[in-house]
Amino acid sequence: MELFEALRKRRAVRDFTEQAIPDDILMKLAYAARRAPTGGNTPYRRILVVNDRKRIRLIKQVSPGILGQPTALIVIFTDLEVTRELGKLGNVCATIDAGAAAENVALAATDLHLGACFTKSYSETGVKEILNIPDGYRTEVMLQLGYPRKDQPRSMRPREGADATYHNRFAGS
Amino acid sequence: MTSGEYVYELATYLLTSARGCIEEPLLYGPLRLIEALSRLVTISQYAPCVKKDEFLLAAKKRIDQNKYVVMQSEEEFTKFLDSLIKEFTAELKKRNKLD
Repeated sequence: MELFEALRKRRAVRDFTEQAIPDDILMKLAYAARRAPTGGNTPYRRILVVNDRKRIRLIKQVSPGILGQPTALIVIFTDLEVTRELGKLGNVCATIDAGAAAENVALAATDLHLGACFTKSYSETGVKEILNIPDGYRTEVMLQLGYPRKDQPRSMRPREGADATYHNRFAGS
Repeated sequence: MTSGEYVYELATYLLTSARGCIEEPLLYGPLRLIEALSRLVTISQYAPCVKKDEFLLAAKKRIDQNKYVVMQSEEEFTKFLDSLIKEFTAELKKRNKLD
């Protein structure tokens, strides 16, 4: 799939079939995440791939934002100690770069005919406990993944202002 | 899944929703509640003592089809909730034999 076709086709998918994602496909998604940049080439980003159904079920229990039944999750999190190498900027750069990694995963998922959905509505405490992530790390975003069910709700139309783009100077909202 | 596991799952959903509501958009509160309603309805699948309720099962289906409207339009989501309330109230009157 061409990049711009993937950009056009990408949407939030929350309803998945029970079909498991093969390990080699999950590794491709992890690769896509790792290919995103980090500020100053600072190695603060961590990628955690989850496909253990029991663990996913528990994560769903502490994640109100997971409404369907994903068969895999990718959690992008940050080593806060390492962000200090970038000074005060490190904290915000880590979040920006996690978003870049997550979008890479979403686009790769589209290319691989998978569905993906960014998720932030989860309990940080609960997810870290289930995934054994210690203090000193912060989760940034979680991607729900799976093969899309055929009966997806219709795509959302962009809300007013979502496509605001300017040329050379800001021209008001 | 046992009835105990189901109740525990619902409990953790409610607890983490409560925590999330402190920081999430205001409209996510109603979304979490309506999702909880949807999940509550299926308790009859796990707890045989709870009678299957066809009206509630139909409502669950409608909720699951329409809940994402919250991310599209507050107005449409509100209308959807109001239409559900109207149906629930009419059903309540029917169940209580009230004209």
